[in-house]
Amino acid sequence: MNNSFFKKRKAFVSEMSQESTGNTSDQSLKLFSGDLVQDVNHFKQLYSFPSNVDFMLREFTINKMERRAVLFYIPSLTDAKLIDDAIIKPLIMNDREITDVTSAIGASAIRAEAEIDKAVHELNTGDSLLLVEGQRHAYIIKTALAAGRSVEKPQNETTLFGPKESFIEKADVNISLIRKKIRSEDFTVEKMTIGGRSNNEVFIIYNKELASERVLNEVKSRIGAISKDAVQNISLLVQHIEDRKRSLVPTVLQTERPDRAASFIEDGYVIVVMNNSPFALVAPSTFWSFYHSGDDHYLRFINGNFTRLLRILAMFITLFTPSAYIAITNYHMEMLPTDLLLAIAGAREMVPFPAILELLLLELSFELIREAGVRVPVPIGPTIGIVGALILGQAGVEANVVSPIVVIVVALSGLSSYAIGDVNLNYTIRITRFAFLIAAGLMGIFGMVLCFMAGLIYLTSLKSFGVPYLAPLSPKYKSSGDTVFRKLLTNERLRPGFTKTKDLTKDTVSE
Amino acid sequence: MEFFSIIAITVGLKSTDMSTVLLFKSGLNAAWMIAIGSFILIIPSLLLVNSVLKKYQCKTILEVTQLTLGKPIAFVVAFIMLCLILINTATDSRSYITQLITINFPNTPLFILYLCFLALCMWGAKKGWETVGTIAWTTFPYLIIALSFLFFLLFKEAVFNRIFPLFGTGLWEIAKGSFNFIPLFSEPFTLAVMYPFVKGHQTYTRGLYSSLIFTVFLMVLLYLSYLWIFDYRSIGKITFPYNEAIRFVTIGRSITNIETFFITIWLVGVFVKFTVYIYLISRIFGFLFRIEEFEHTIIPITLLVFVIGLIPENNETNIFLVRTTTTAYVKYFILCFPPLLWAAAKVKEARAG
Repeated sequence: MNNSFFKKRKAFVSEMSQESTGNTSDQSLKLFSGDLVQDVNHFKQLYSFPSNVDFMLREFTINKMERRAVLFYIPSLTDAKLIDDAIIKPLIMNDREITDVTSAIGASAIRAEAEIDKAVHELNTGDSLLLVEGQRHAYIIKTALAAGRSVEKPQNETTLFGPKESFIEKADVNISLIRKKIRSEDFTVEKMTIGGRSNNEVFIIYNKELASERVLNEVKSRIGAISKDAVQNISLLVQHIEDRKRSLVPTVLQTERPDRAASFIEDGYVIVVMNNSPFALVAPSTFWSFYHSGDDHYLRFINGNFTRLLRILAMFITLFTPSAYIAITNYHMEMLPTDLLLAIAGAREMVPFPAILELLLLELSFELIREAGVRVPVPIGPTIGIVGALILGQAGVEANVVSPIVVIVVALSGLSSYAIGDVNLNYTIRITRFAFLIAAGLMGIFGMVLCFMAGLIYLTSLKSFGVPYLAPLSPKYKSSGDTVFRKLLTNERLRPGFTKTKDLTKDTVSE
Repeated sequence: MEFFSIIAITVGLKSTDMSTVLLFKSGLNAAWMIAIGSFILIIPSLLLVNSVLKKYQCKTILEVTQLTLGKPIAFVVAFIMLCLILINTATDSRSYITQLITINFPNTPLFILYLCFLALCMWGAKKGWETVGTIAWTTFPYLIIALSFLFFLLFKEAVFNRIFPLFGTGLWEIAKGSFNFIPLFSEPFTLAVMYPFVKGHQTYTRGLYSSLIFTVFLMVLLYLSYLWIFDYRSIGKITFPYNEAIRFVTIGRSITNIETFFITIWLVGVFVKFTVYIYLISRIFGFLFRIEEFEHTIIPITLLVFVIGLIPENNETNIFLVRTTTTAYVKYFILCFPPLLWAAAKVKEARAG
């Protein structure tokens, strides 16, 4: 019974999709027929002209060739001035004899296309289509210009010394932002199209001399295996191609800075860029890609290492402070110096809740304030600060609902979590903090060690596109040793070996 | 490199558990010499095993036994090995958990902690040998740093004259003790099961010997520190020398009790040690009963260890009883097995060539 039910569902779905992909009666019209009226009617029907106002056609007669021609374009995606000046004007006002249409048009890219489906596909991306009477192909002219932002400062990953450009929603501009940092003929950009209905383009960028074949093929096969109707932007694409979709730990890096993307390309990684996303994906990503920020290399050696030290300290503080507080005050009271113990006991005297409940309450409210702070509209932004500080902090302590020590602990751990730049790793750390808290509440230090070992085991067994997650720390690969701390730039002579690049040394080829 | 850390952790942690009490009982002052003596006594066997392994590259020691001694004898040998290691693991894990509970968690039942502990070791072992090696290698530096910190703090409290009389109960007693405590170093034989996973014979040999020397050095230093802090008379009465030692140290005058810090690091090492053991047991089990995918047997074997570990009712005395009997058998096994193997290999070579 189950089998027949599923078969019926499948049949239903395939019938639907057959219906929606174009009129079955026009299946024979695969190529342009050369008959202008027939083709124009086909296009008008396809685009629901004239009820669909976002589709224009311009009929005219090409001067000196005495042939009728029709120009199709979608005004919201095209550059109107370019169409006027480069296409229509030369064709109408030309004085000389035109034998070859392509030589009469002043656009930068023009080609002939004989299949209707492909022509429609290009028309949908903003190019213009020129049909000339009697010719069995159409001319596709590049005129795409869509509205969008201009290049601005990065919002999530700010640096002190680095360049202050960030990606925008147009893939061409993004690629140019990366390419201008690597001017080499090995810089390759490949395009793939995914999404059955929305036909989103995915650009895969790599350096063909440096990127590893295996990772590249893995990336391409994963993108090609996506079978959804529409994958609008990178943030959705990531969730389709990452290694473990339900995992707490991110395995693909999203960056909004072109200089970071360029440095990854030079190390042999593969970058993915899409329209509609001011981000680029970096594959494969190890834990260290999330941990590092661009600033570490732009600052001087000592300053960069100091920042890294602060960051690893912040990570440990965020993870361990609340759980250590619970473990020590509940299970290992003898560990604190007597004065501190008396201070804590005095502060906690009037509080009605057990320590762990108090801590959980405050942590939860801190996370709520944090989430609200991200989504709050700018005009009432400062109100959140006032609400948080006054009500939750001050009033809570005065009413003896929470003790001031817990406020200190929560504030410290929350503040240190901001030191982790990457958004995904930030969420990871925030969520694992709760796991540690519960483990510490149940079993004290033993619980914390259990949790820590469990995390370590999980991280060492995780792989991102075939590369172990903690490389080059754990499986020992030849690399510049850029893990927790970095070396002097002149001493970083090797590329990361785990990307299996073809050229391991960073020094220039001496030839 | 990972091999180095695995050996160092599994063997070295023995100096922090209850076997030190046994050691000190028989050696009194010179217990640290016993450790050196055992190592010296075991070197010939190690060399023999090494040479046999070199002949048959890319095979585990169990397969080598199969080839040289024939299938039925290999089965018996492996079975004995399995039983010994199983009982060893069970008693060891129980004694470590007892150590943890008695001092730090007096109200928690043994059952729960033991269960959680073994559950985590099981999960770690299930992930495979590379993961285990990686974890050992990642945590090893921090263990060493913590231990050196401990040594540094212990030296402040030490009275160096307590090392005298130097030979303790007498040379003959030391020799007997060394013979009795050979099982301290029984790990390299079980770890020979993982021989094909190490990069090459060179790496194996070098890793083995360097790590053993390092470990002996570490253990000797630790025993000496116990001696320096608590004189030999008290050590026989302290059941948990490591825990007492870490309670003893202070940093300055204000921070008096930092034992939790050392407990944490120690726990990490203990986890690694038992993850390795559980993996090895499953591997030998898989070899014995010709199970290819022995990773599925890890769960039932952990349960077995758990149940066996819960059998002794009384913590201390029964563990000592069981331990002393098993060590008696293990030492004969270790002393007799390698020469047998080597001789058989030689005979086979002579017959073939």
